[in-house]
Amino acid sequence: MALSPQNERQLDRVILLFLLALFLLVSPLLDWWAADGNPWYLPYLIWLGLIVALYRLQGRTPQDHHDL
Amino acid sequence: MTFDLWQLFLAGVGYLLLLFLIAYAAERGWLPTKLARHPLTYTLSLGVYATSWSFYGSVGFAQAQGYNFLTIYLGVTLAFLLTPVLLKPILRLTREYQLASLADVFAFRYQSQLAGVLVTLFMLAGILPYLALQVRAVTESLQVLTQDTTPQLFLALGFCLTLILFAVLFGARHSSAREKHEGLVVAIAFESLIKLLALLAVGLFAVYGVFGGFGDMETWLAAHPEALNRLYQPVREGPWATLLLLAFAAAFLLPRQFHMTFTENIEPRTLNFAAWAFPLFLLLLNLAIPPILWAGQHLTPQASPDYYVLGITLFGNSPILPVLTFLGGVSAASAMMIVETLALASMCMNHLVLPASFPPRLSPDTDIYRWLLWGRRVLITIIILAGYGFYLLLEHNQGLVQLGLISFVAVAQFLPGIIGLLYWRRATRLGFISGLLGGGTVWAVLLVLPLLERSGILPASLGWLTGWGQVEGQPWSHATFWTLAVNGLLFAGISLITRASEDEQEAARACCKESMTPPTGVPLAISPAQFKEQLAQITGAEMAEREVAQALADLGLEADEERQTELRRLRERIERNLSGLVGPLLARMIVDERLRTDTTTRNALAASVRFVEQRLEESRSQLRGLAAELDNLRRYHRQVLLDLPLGVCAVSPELEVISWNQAMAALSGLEDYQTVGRPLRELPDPWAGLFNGFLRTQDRHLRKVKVNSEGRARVFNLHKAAIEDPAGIDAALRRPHSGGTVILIEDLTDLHMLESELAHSERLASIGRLAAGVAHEIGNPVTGIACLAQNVLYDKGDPAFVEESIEQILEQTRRITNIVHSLVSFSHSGTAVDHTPAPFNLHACIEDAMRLVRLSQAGKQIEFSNRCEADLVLHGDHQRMIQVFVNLLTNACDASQPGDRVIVNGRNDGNFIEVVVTDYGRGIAEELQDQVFEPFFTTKQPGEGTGLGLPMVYNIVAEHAGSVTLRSRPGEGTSVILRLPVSRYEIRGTRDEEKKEGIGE
Repeated sequence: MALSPQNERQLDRVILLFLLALFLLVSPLLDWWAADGNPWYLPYLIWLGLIVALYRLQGRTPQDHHDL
Repeated sequence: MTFDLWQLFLAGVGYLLLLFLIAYAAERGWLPTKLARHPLTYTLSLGVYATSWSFYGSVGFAQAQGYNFLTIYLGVTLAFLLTPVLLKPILRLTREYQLASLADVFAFRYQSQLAGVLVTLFMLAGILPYLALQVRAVTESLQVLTQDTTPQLFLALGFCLTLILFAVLFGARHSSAREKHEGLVVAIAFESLIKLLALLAVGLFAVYGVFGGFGDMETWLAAHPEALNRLYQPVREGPWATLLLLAFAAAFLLPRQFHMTFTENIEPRTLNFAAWAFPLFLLLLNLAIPPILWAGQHLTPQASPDYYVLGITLFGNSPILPVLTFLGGVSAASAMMIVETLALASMCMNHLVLPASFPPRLSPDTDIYRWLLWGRRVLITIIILAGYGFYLLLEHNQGLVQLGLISFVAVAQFLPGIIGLLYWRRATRLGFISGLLGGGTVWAVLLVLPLLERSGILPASLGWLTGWGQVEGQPWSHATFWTLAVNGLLFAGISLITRASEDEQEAARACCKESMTPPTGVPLAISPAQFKEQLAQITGAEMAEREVAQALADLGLEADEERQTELRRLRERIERNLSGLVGPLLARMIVDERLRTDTTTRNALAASVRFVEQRLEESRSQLRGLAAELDNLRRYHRQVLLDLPLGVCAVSPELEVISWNQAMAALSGLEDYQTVGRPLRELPDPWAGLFNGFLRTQDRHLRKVKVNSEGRARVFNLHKAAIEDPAGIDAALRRPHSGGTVILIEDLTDLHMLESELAHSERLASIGRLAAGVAHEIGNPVTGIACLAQNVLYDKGDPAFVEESIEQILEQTRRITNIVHSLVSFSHSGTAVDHTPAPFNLHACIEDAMRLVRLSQAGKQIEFSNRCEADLVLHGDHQRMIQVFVNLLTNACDASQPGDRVIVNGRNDGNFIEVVVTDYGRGIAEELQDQVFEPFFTTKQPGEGTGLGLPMVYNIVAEHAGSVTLRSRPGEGTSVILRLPVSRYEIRGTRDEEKKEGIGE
């Protein structure tokens, strides 16, 4: 009957993940991972990390056809 | 290694033929349908994002800007990360309202043709350099492979013509963008796969073929630390954030991305999969770029860094890799050009061509679908050729990335508009148009004019304008900041000082999913056939026929649908379907013009209720907080109503059924979907007649109505109550609007049967009580007959005496016959068999009852007096009324002393016939007077009375719409007063008609 708390939590997670991504990509943290001498694949690892988090998030998406 | 032009030409032609074959196979259903609908296919088709800029230009971009090239894909990842709050709402909107392009979306939201036109023109201007870039990438890749520096203009033209053919055949198979092109989706997915394979293959060649493995590459990097530093340094210093923002916007606003993500989306749920799979695809695509760059720096091929991808493959031994890479480049360019062109053609059709020419001034025989189809095909041709023309004009030293970024900044101008569309209802069309014009002007001055100047196209007199674009440092950040700042400020500022029109507000609510009021007005057409006639006047008969049939099929309605609510839905559906065909504004214009509505009529309540419930169901998952709690409360109340054990039927003021609960469905055998929204008069028998008749009467209750339903006789109690419309007060009448009526139905069939059985028992008991008297009454004439017979036997000789005796014998037998007849008729009265009401004489009826009661022992000793007016006629059940008087007279006898009188008076006092049965017996104690009509209550000794006599009197009189009252004083006697309506005849007549309707006679 009630609004699925799962759905609400999922939206919260999406926003949190987006903020985390912004924190990683457009903040002073950028100077840390883009420092000279870091392995060349480090940006890809960070990117992959975001994708894995996104995958886990989507995997939990409730089957809600009313969304569309 | 070098290649001849003809070899590459053959490879290119062969590849495009393969693409044709795949698309054709998918369209013809030779490939499994699951393939086209698979989330992976959808994800790969989104790979149209990676054009030749990504395929070739990324390495050049990395050379110049280091890891900044990744922003173009990380921005997309950020956009897809917001799928539930950004992409899904747009997908919902485009599917629900059949919006085929970004221009459609903006035109719909801001209800402005000008907005659609501006978006289309701006898109065209922004995308043409991008199309030119693709043509250039293909021809330059040919130059790299053939080592020939002369531009292959004819080959470029050939490439463009092939793409036109492909786009026309597979991207414009249908007259509207509303149909999905499975062939196109599969072919674009295949192209993405080729791009990915080619780049990964080149990446592996760079690592293993050029460096000899990852270890050797690391060694080379250690020896050349500046190579890695040149990748990281621009990230810290360059326009990283600006490029992220531009890519974020491009991810869903570029026409090709919008087209593949939303317009060609076959299964909405595939977007969930693509949300993570598409960024993964982009990651894999870009994984090979740094190794290729370093291989290029290591080998220093003749090509510019933009073409290192091809250049380093020429150092290998096998010709396969260069050809595969070349085909990857062709894939990237062709996919982009085809999809981009389709999207632009659809925009141009809906927002430039159709508004200027619709309705086409053609003969009625013209096939409008064909007209639209060929219109789109011609537009596709023009747009691709325009891209080719732009390619011819442009200066060729411009980097691939520069051209691409011009387009990115252009589409970023739609960001404020899209945010307004999804989340800011206050945004107005003036705000949007001014923002777009402002941002567009700054974009043209800062980015396009310098490009034209460098290509020598700009007249020298305008040279001063380009000075604005020449800035030191970061030109992209500069341009992005100023375009978006001007655009955003104008958009927000002007939106705040202007007011949105009503249409716009409605569209804004629809976009923000807050629309909770159904469109007002009732369609004037009363059937789908009339819809066709009215629509045909503007669209032609064939199109009207097809559109109405399509809309009926979409809604699952029949061609003879007449329900007002459903016709309104049909009108909406036709508008949405037409929107997919000719754009949202033209669709609205056609529908408003032809399928007119009566806006003066208040919304049918049934339609409103249904609409709101539908919207709440759809947006249930999006409700939160108080709204969610209210929705729960609403559901709870609705469930209470549904589960109520009484039948509930709510009827709107327009006499349409609004609510029909489960008990009602069980009683009637009609489910709610068969009744809700229908006018009451259309319900099957007996319900239409029963409810209509009940609503017409003033009575709020109707008791024991007999209805023949589903082949059996049923007895119902009906109750009704007016519903006050919670919407408000009628100012003119100073009372609440009528919200209709609620009818409750109580099924008394079982109770009625039980009562009938009890009544029968009571009757048998009465007969038992009468039995002794009957025996005595019959015994007397029998004795008389016996005496007379004996006398005749002894005195046969006197014929006169014999004759007299026989006459007396016959007289005595008639007396016996009368007694038996009365008894038999009484014992049969009021059984389960219903007696047909008929007029009868009340005096005679009372007389019959008295005769019966006189048979009893007590009755014999009482003096009965029938003072009823002789000519009173009552319409009703004669036998049951006898039962009433027998019961009353029996009670009177029981209460009286032998020799007392019992008087029955009857008179007509206008509307009522009043009958008073008076005895002078012991009376009834005051405290018991209220209980005497209750079943099984008796003041008699056990075994003498059943306690059902007076309740039965009460029931029978109530069925005759009369009333029973009691006046009694202990020791003085009792009067029972019956009041039976004279107009009973008419009321009974009405109910008879209803009954007949119910039975279907």
